[in-house]
Amino acid sequence: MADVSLDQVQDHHAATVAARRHFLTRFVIYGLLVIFAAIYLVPLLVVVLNSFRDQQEIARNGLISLPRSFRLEAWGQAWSTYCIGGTCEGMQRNFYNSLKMTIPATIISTAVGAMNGYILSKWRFKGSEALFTCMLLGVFIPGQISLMPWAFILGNLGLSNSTYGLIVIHVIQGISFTTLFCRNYYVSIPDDLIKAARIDGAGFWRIFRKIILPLSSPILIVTVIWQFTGIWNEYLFGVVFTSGQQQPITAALVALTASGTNVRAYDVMSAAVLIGALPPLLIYLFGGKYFVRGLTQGAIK
Amino acid sequence: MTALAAAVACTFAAGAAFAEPKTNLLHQWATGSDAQAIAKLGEMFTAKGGKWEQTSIAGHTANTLAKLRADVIAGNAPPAVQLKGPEIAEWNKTGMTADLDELAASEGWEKVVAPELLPVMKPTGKWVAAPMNIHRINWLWASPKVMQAAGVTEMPKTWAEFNAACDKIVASGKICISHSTADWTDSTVFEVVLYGQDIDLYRKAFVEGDVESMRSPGMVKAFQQMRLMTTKYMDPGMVGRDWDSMSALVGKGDAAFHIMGDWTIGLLTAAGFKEGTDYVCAQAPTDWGKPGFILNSDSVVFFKQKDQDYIDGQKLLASLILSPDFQTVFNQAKGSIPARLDIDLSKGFNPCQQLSQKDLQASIKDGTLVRSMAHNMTIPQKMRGAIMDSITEFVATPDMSPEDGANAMADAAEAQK
Repeated sequence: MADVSLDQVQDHHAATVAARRHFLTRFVIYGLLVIFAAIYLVPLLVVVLNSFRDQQEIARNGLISLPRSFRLEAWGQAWSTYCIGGTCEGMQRNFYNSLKMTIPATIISTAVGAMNGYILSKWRFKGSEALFTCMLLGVFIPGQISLMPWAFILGNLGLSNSTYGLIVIHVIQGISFTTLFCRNYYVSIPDDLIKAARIDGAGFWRIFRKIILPLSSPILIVTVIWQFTGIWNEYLFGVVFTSGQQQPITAALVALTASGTNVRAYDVMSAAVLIGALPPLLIYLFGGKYFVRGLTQGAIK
Repeated sequence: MTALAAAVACTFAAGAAFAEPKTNLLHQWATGSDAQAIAKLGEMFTAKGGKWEQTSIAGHTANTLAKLRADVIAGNAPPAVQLKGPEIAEWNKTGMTADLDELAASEGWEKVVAPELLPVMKPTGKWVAAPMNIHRINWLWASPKVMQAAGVTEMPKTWAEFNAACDKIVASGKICISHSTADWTDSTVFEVVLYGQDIDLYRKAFVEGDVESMRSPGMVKAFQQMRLMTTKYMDPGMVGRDWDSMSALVGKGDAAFHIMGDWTIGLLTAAGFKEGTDYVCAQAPTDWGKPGFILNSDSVVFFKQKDQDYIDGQKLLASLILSPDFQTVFNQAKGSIPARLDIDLSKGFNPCQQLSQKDLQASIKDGTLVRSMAHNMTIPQKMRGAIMDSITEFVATPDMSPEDGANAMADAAEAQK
């Protein structure tokens, strides 16, 4: 496209040279970006194409080849008729399980995190910093370590093999993250605002409602996105603490792919994976721009 | 009453006052046609007035065993669990398995179940488990097109014939053996080779787990044949190939042969290949000229229960599992054949399944029926794992000599004694 030869450069104005160089740099940068995006997106493309291909055609021509058939059946089967986890009702039940688990757990953990962040930044008390540090430790504890304690607790609460048990786990595991996000964000709200409000006679709750919450939307969106995707995509607790019809979608997807010496229905698997990936994807599409914004800016700009 | 309605009823029933048979089957048939067959079992159970529950575990025996141990330690052993050969014997030793002798006698199981399965279902002389099916391992699947093009006129019956056929096929530019390397696939091929060469050695080494016999010249000979196959007759693409695309190579006419159990029928059918035109099946080669059969069987073992409802449920479930009706439905879905020898396969079964039943009867008569090591029907899991690892290592290391292969296998097995 742009062939820049040296002798051309010499009898041109410096401006054109600069423009050209600028163009070339741009061209290389965008070229590389396109190549990397393609590398990143090809696997997804394979999955999308396979969800529309005929099972028979996949078995004959292999997983990675251009579609020679087009059908929508796999999506219907994945959603409502294919046998997963010993029942033949597709993955809809697991999809709802995941929603039933993720939505309440996200809302509760975000609300508690906002409250904690508010107290730890604006209503400090003796030892509040130490308490915050202790809560932060939760961020660094891998799930595997807490498996056995959780098993013990859920057993005693009578919540094993239920969505409620998973909600309890995700709320408690999530509080350290949500507290960290909110507390660090609220620290940047000037203390004078709070003091002024207190002089005007506003109390603990009123200040939270009238001053803090209206300023919180960026960080709340970040927290919701973070919690929702984290909980939706969580597999370990889902597979350990539930079985069969109680399982969230991640565990069901793994159950769908582990088939021993059974025929693997790649078309149904592909559709199922895509259905499973939709909710977090939608959340990102709608809230993605706030995500970066919320993480990088303070409250008062 | 549909299964769904039953499930809903289960959820809302606040402890039914009247007695009804109950069960909860712990199994691995979680997806696809396997799951359909189990759903059918549930429907039959419900139709007989029982309350059906099932817990499916995705994956393999190890996961089931982990869950089972947890349940047993917690003091609620599940009423029915899908387990195989050696595991049945091990759990039987704990004294926790239920006794089905009365039911077996009244239904005449002894007379109809394949004799090789009896020691598995009755580890100490009492019935504790019910077999669901019989898979055959020593199958040779072949592409008639490829054979014809290479001038191979009939299915090879001995290993010498097989090698001669392979030389022709490789010369014609096709893959002779379609393979994908993994511990269980390598071991499947290897046990078929050993069995076909020396049935007595197979019994000694792989059924009894005799370490010294693994060092014998016969074992070295089997490793020699294996080496010939991996270097000359299989293609380099076997590394990293998905196991379920092996059979399609034969169906499409890219490869001539494929050595694998009869679940291959399911894979070939799913890809739309037809028996007779796209593929044919025959017994894998044997050098001793009799019908042979390496058997693998899925079964359900029953654990002692305190609750009378669950005890009744066990009897009902065991009786249903061995009923001709269920054995037919389940095995049509899986490509295997019924564990009962008195079921007519002329309707709704594939010709290869019909041949499987015929060869099974013949091998019982000739005393050549054996259980599969690779598919966990003989020696304990630990030793089996060690042997399978040694076979896979041999396949992956082209410069390892057959003698070293045999010694490595014996050493690995000995370490697990």
